[in-house]
Amino acid sequence: MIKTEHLSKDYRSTKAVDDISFDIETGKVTGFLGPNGAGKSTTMRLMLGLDNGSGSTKYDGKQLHEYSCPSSMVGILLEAKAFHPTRSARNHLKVLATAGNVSLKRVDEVLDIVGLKDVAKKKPGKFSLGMSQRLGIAAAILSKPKYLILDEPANGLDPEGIVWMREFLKSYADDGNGVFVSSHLLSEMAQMADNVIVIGKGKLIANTSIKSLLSSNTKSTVFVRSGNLTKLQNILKEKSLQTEMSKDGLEVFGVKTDEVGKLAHMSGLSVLELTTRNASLEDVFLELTEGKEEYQARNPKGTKS
Amino acid sequence: MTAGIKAEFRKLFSVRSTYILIGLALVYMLFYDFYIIGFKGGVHTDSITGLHNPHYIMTEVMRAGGIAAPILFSSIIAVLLMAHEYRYNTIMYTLTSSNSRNKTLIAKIIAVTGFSIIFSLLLEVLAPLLAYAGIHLHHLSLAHQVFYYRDFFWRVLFFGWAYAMIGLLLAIFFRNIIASVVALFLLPVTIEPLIGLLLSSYRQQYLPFTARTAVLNNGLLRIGPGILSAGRSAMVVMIYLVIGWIIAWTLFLRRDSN
Repeated sequence: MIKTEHLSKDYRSTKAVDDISFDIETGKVTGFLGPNGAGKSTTMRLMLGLDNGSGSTKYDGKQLHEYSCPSSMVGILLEAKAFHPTRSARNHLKVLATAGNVSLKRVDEVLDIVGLKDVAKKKPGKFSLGMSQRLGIAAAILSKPKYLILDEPANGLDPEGIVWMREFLKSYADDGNGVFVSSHLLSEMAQMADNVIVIGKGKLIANTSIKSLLSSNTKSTVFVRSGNLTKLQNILKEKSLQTEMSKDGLEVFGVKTDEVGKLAHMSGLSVLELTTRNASLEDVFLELTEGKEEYQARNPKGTKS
Repeated sequence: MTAGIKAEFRKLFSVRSTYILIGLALVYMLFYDFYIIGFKGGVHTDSITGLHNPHYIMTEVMRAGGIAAPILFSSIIAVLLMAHEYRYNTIMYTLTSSNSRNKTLIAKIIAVTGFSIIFSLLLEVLAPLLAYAGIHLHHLSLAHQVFYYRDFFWRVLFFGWAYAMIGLLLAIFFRNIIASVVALFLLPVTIEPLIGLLLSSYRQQYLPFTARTAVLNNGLLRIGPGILSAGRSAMVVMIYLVIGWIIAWTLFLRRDSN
């Protein structure tokens, strides 16, 4: 398990990361969400000791510098284009393999895994963003690390690449490793992550499983269809529950299906459909991070989007 | 630690710029050592350092830029080894593959030291040979040459190493290729001469780049009064390098990775 405690980082008067603590479990993909400028990348850099700040990050109980070969504990991808443009893809990985005491045979293995075997001798300066991301993934998994820390690894990938990345990271986690990944592709995160950590303006907003995040959100509703919707609505209102009549049923807010079902049964009303309608991760993300954006754009009409 | 050193050498020899700069140094030597000093018989053929001088090859190669100028290329290679890490953000891999920033920096220093020594040795052998070859090809008559091998050997090695270390230091200070290379060129030819205008000629000898050049030039044949010997000049350079390294080391440990 990766355990981060009280991570903080100031840039002069700005608090980029403000006392953040969380755990990353093995066997799971943990998503890391937040608006632009929320402090995601800085948090990852603090976890790796690349930035100087306060707080600690322990990997299986030890700080990274206590391991003789840190790259065998954690593989990283913080920037897609982090390579010398004229050093071939294979040589780039050979440098990293040498530094991490990894057999050079592994270089061709990982190039094959990420699908870059054919361009191994090419200079990566001319790689597309997607190919660069794949090279970054190859670098991250070179030492077969127990943990992966990836910052926006799906950026620039085509749909096929995104699916590949999702399946790859899920299977990497299924092998008993821990994957910590930030992304702006919320639908992708919803499919890939088991847990999610949300930050805004450097502060921790949520740290939970995707399932409970989606179900606990205020935008999650219970949808019910009944033979007598008006009567059911009145009963629910008597119980101080917020309702909204829709075209074919009734939306009930801040309640679970069990309660609605019981109330309908006690009133002798037939229930034709009773289901939870969870908010999408995008709805939840926007609600959680409302007012916590560092940079806010305006829509064409001039109002804040 | 050994892995880190090996990786640094691999970085050095897996980029095109290293070979281009080595090639440029060799082209320069072909022009200057082979053609000017050798084939043409010297820059100043009417001076006392003519072909009848028994120290012609040694003095021309060491004093007139036959070896100092190409050694500059090893310093640029040292700048690139460090500054490329920041330019292309590979420093994050370098730092996370080692459990100590001290080890990372020591590996860089060892790699640059190793490279600069091998490079300087190559130039030490090539420069006089190219000069001899030029003279013989042009059938010029050359006086029997006296060569102070030991003196020549340590001075060029120290000069080459110190130059490369200065390059590495500048790259750590600036973390930028252009700023580091500009500083490498401007400091010895602009900034230091301006500072020198404020000092007496005796005190000017204690300026870092003046002292560095003096290691190659001073007292090659005889030493005048009030002039620092090559050994003392080397000590002056070492003091500046130690001070520079204390600052650079502190910055490397304390600053964010990039």
